[in-house]
Amino acid sequence: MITRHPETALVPYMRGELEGEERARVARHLEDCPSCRQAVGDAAAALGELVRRVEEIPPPDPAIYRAQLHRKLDARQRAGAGGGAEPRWWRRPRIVGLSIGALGAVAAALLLIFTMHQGAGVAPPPLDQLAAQDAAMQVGTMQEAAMTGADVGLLRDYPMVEHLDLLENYDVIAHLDDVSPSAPASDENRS
Amino acid sequence: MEPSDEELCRRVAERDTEAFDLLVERHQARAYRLACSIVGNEADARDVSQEAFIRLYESTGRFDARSRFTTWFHRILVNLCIDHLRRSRWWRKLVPLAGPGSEADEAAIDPASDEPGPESEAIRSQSIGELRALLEKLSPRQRAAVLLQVQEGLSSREIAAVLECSENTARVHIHRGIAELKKAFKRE
Repeated sequence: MITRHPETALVPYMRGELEGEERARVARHLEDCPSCRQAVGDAAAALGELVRRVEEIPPPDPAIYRAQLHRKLDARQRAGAGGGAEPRWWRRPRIVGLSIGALGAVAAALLLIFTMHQGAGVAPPPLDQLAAQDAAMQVGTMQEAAMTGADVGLLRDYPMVEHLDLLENYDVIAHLDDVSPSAPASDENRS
Repeated sequence: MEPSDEELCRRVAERDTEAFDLLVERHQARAYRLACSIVGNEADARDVSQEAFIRLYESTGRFDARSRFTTWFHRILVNLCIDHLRRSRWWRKLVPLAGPGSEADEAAIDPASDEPGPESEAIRSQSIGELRALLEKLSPRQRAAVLLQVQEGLSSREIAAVLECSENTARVHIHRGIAELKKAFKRE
């Protein structure tokens, strides 16, 4: 009694691909199954007709085919080397559109982050932080004064240091090279 | 003695253009015919098969010398054909009446080649059109499996290696493909 048709093994059997037990099993089945014998015959006829149709396709002209192939290969190699060939983005405008959109979104996000960051910089720091900074500056100034007290005393000899308001006088600034460290600034320069 | 395909492939990996030309010369007609049978359009077949040779040139360094060149090359070619069929399928559904060489058959990989060969275009178009109508109902993998068997004489095991599936799956593709083919012959 036939329990199952070895449908997918029929063509391999017909083509002599099967070996050993599988081949024997399909052969036994075919002896008892006229529908499978018919299926093998039909498959052989269909494949034979297909071969005939395929062979009707004339091959391309070898010289033209190879010339086209070499042109394409050269273009691909130039494109790969970053030279002359048409750039990839030009051939895929939709992807470029998406890229520009994505770039715009990223730029907008960066601008927002930057703006928020700037805003945070302008905002005054908390009071306790300011108090701590003041205390640190006072301590720092005292230490600095103790360390450089002698140098500060020397600076008092410079007339320019005695008259820091003169720095607002652009004529004095323009002639700083002419001012002697020991000589008092002239009245002309002060005006 | 002629160098084997595998030897030529090794030389192509070293950028030997003569070896590449020899490989193309040996396989171009069969590659074109196989592509033509699968994609059902001559311009697309030319583009797809040429693309397969370009991929071959670019990736020969990855060819495993222990495997057969034809299996490796068929895999490149058939994958390109199947990709092409899948990408153009939605377009064919939109324009079902489009014939060979029409805009609906625009190449998905590269623009269709603009240089016609010297062959008789009428005979070519008729043959390809008939073949395409015959294979229309077969899925891309069924089509590839059946055509690899009848055109290239590959066994089910070799077809499985090309399609990267089990031998049983390859047999199922062939069986169902032939069943559809028989129906198509009855419709004619």
